[in-house]
Amino acid sequence: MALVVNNLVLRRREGFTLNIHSLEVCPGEILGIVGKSGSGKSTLFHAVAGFLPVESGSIRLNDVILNDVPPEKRRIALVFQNGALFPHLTIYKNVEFSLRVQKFASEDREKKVTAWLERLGVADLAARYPSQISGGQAQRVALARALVTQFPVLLLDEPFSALDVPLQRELRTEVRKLVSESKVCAMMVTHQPQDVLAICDRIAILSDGQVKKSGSPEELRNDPLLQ
Amino acid sequence: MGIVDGKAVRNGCKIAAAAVSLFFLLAVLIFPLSWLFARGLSSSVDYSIWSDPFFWSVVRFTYWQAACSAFLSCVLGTTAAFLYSDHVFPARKLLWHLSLVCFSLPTIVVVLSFTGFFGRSGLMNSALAALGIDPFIQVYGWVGILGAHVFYNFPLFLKSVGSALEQMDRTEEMAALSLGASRLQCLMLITFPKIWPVLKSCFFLAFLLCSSSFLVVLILGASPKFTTLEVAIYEATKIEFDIPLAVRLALVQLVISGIVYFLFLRQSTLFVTLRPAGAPFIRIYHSSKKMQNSLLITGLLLVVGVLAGGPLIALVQSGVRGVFYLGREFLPTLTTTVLLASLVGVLATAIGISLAYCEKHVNRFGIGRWLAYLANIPLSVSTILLSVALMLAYPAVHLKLRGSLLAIAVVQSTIALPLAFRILHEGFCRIGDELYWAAASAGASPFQVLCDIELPLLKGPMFLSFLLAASFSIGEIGAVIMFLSEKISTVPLWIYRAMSQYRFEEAYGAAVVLFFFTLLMYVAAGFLERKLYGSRS
Repeated sequence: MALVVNNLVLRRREGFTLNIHSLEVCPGEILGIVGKSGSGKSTLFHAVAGFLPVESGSIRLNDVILNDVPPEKRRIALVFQNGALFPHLTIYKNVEFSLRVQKFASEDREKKVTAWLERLGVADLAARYPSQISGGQAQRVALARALVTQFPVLLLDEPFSALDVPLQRELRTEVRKLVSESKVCAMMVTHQPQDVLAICDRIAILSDGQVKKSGSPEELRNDPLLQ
Repeated sequence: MGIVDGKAVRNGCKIAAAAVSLFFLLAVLIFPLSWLFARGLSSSVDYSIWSDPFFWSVVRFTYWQAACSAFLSCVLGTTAAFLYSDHVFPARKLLWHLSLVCFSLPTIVVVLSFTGFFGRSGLMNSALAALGIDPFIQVYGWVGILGAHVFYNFPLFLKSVGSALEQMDRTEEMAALSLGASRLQCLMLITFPKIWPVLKSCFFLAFLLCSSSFLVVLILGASPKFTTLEVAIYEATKIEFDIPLAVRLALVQLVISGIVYFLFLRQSTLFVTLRPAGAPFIRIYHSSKKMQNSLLITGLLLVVGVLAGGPLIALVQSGVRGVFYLGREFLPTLTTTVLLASLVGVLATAIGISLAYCEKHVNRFGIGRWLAYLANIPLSVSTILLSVALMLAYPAVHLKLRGSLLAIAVVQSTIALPLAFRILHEGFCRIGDELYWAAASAGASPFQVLCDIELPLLKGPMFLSFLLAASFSIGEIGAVIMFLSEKISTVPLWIYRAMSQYRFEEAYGAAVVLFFFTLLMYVAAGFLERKLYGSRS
């Protein structure tokens, strides 16, 4: 079940066009999209998630065209830079959210939520509110909330940039492990080359709305565009 | 300049500001209201007065109509706010300003516009009659009162909820949708909890405004059945001279308004995270179905067009003709109105500065904070109620000041004080700490800082505060009626008298003059607000 972007064109603001010829992410793989501010990373992220209308080209998931599918029906989970946890819900309720709106049975919900909270090491925070936990803990909760859905695609928007360096290392390893185990197609958007070099299977360097170069971390490690 | 003892200047500045603020609030607000409250309590010992059915019918009607008006305003304003924030359509900006201008119109202008559009021979019924449909809209009674209150208060929800929606970070909504929540679930489970405090505080404010509505009920009520506490207090004081009844009615209004005001103050926790600068605005509640969007926008255009546009068109249509009926005797009235508005603007701004200065600099015993709380009390008090309280607390002064512009200006500027204080407080907050440090390191005393740094930087907020307070005064009629004398006539009172004498052409003429004055002030205030705080719409 691969996520494939083909000939995607999207005009965002005066003089800026996102033009992606081809991108593909396979299950268990992380594709890193890296680029400077204004290169079109966020636009690509919003387009794949379904929040920006596509002008031409296609976004497919396992041969199903997603272009006209609304975000709530795409089965693409998002993790944001700030976690975007719901501030009025407890950590438990945050993780339970998607199961509740999809009307899972309550025992099933409890089992899944507890399992994911334990797996991410935040089970003891279940009764707290987002304002009562640290940035690193919030990112773990956001990951648990996204993965509990068992959606086939995971989009990560600068997931480590708000954290300090030791915590970044710890979470990178965790994300790598979780993606491999859950077999989701993961796409990570970031402006930090060290993030993509550390955990991505493949990297695409974005500039002026176009993929300037793509390849494995080994191939691009010393590329001037990545520095 | 001679050498001044820094500590003496510092303390002198603070003491002077605190003394001025405290004296004004105690003399004009706290003492008269406490006096009224005490008199109300002592007259309430006579239990027979509580069994008066008229008394209870007035209380019931006052709060029932206020609740209905606030609820309808909330529904219309919030729906409009969502449509404005998530949809782009032709004339969007024009419609936004048309909606907001309603909030700043003088009550007498609104009442006249309503009768001109929805009245028996108004534009709407004439158009229906031309189409062969029997006129069915009756502007007097429930429909008129609710309609005028919604006309007034829906912009409050539109502006507050609209600003919250446009400024909030929507990643939580995006996360909810990506987790499989439908738009309705996202709205109910994520967005509503975030804007709930805004909705509640707007509801309480609209409820307070509608429960103390005077002119709308006096004219559009047109029957004893539709009497609110405010109208009953006015009639008991100025027509029936039944002071005990007025005091009893005022006591009920004071107590209930006090409770609602307390609830209003408690709505301070906001779950809204602000959108980071430069982050794109994602339209969450924008349907992908074009037909659905078109229907929603057409509905909005229709409701706002009929409710806000229709009465304004009727006003301008009749008013432009009416201007030619205005005689020379209208000029002194206009001059008095402008003079009174300027006086109110200056007074409210001066007291507002003194209060905001205390809030910023006087921290001992929490004096600044307490003064700020007191400065907001007028939100729960009307001009009629405050006028009655002042008359009863200072009978000798009242006799001397009856018909004086100063007495009216004091009442109006007290009621406009929360507005002035909010603007000036925000102005003070925007002065960065580094400026104070730089000034202090250069050896400036706090008085010099006030004169050379703070006041020049507060020029914009001071002018905005002046404009808004003056704009409130220009359309206010309650205080003018309560301190009425032959010597004084303001434009709203002039229109009211013309209406009572069925001189409608002149009334419309004067109303259109008042409308353009208010519009001019609205445009100037909007321009200034954008300059000071950036675009909020």
